[in-house]
Amino acid sequence: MTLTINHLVGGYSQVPVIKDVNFEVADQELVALIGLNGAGKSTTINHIIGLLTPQHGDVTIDGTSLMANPALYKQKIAYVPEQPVLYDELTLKEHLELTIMAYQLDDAAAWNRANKLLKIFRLDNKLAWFPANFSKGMKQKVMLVNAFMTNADVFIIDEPFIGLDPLAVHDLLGLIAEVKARGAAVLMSTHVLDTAEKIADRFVLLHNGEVRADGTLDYLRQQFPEAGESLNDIYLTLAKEV
Amino acid sequence: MDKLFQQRRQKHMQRMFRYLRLVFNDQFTIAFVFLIGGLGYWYAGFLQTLQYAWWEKFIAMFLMIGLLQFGNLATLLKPADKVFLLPQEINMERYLKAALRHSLWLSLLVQIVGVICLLPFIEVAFQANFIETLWLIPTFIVFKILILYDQMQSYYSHHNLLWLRVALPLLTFALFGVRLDMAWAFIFVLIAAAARFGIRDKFWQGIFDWNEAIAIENGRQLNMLRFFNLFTDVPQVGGQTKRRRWLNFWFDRLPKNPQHVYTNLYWRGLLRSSEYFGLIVRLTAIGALIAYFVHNQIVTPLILVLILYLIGIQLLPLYHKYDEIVFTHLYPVDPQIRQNNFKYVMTKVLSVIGIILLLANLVGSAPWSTFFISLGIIIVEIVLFSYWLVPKRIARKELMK
Repeated sequence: MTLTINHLVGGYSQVPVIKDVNFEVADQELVALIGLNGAGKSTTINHIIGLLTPQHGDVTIDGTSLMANPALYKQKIAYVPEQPVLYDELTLKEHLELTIMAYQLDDAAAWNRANKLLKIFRLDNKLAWFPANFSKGMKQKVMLVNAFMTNADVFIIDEPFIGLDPLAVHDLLGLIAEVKARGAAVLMSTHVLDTAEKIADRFVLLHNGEVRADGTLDYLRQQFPEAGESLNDIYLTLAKEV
Repeated sequence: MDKLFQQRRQKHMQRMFRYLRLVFNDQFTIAFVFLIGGLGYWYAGFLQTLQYAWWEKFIAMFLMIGLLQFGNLATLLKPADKVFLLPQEINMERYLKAALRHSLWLSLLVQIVGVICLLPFIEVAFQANFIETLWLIPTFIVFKILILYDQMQSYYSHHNLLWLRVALPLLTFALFGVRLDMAWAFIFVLIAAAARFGIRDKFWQGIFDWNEAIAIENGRQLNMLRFFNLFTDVPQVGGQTKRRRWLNFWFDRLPKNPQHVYTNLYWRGLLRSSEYFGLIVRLTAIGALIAYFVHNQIVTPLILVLILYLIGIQLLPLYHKYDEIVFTHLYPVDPQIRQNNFKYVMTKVLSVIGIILLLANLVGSAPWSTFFISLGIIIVEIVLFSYWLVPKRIARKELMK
């Protein structure tokens, strides 16, 4: 499953925040979306998950575009927001039930997956609780369980590392590897560059609403030979340059 | 500090008047006139048929004590005050006294109007004559002043407020029951008041309890906003979530298929949030009371229709309650399903409330004609509301976005 962002121009008002963004996330690939605050990462993600309407260009998953077939498109996407958002009146169990209903998942299979995930994130004894009262890290875990229990082909994960405990980060990386192995495409935005450097297959560097660089770490090193070895150095050089 | 309180008071009043204007919009003013009219009509009829019975004294005393609890000290303190006003703690006494003066006028007005409404009933219950009962008015005034003063000082001394709030009034009213001349009971209260002020210095010792004062003021404001929230949208009132396990039987019965994703969400949102649930319960209770007491063929159906309409209108924002949560947009569910689910939930909720109102009508042994006219009108209203007004309102809101 390939997520394609094609000449995307868009933003919250008439003034575009992102200007002609192009990149792809192929199946079995983890792409890290890197950029300063205000670079347009969240705007890009909001376009991908369909909260914003593009002014130009489009976003497709294997040729299905959001505008042409919203229900089919959304079926293929799972999203983990940076700030956990939960329904105040639903318990953890009811959140998962709602996801099963909304994505029309097979009940038994979905619960099977969910139970495994709940165990991994040590939430299995909290099914009857209201997650709205959880700590931020625990809410994030609920979001992760919610996303990874679906059969989505494309995972959009917005800054997963801040707020999670080290064990949970480790488990999350395992989960990402797992869904990649079964053919999913993963797009992850993050500021934690050294982790991204270790796990991502490719990097999209966003600056002022434009893609400044797109490629593997080796490719980036070739492109900016004087910048340094690590992703951090390359990104800092790049960001100061412009 | 006096100036600070004046500023706060001005802001507070502006806000209250803004809410009052919102509350007394056209539809509500009509409903309110009917409500007051209905209640007044019933009370007048009730007084005419009222016979003396020994237990009425106790009901009257209960009502009087209850009335005394209305109106609290409005300190208008804000959470940040415990940081910013801390260096001014010495002058808090002045601030509080300004607050006391501000709180008095509204509290006393409520007390006086309340007593006047109660007087005819007290006359019968205590077998007193009109002049004797008139002494209750100054008694209530003195009590209220004492109670507010006491509350103010309790932020320093943490003494028990119930003595003045309940124990002393109870004693006074009981004395009134034994010896009918309220004049001497009033003198008793005055002596108590003098004693209370005489030893007041003892109470000013201690440190001003910021946390408690702020928590109490917050609670007071929340109660007030919750009241306004009955009639209009108040942004600050989020309401809490209660599990309400006893409703699980209902949640478990909800259809769990993709066609009813939002049915599940809306039912839980409706019944677990204190905001919507409280609103339904309060307005239904008021409606049921009216349905129980008022049996007129024209007035009763009209009031029931108004009550149902008021509840329905208040529940409409529930449709958009989850708009801020991205998943509401992310779920691969046709938006039409969401609307259908909402209409379905609304129809059911309004039907249940309608049934309760009609039952109250029957239990109050209203004539069958009233019952059937109400029944017919309510059915028509629910259908119109859910299938005509709801889609129209939703479309209008979407358009505004």
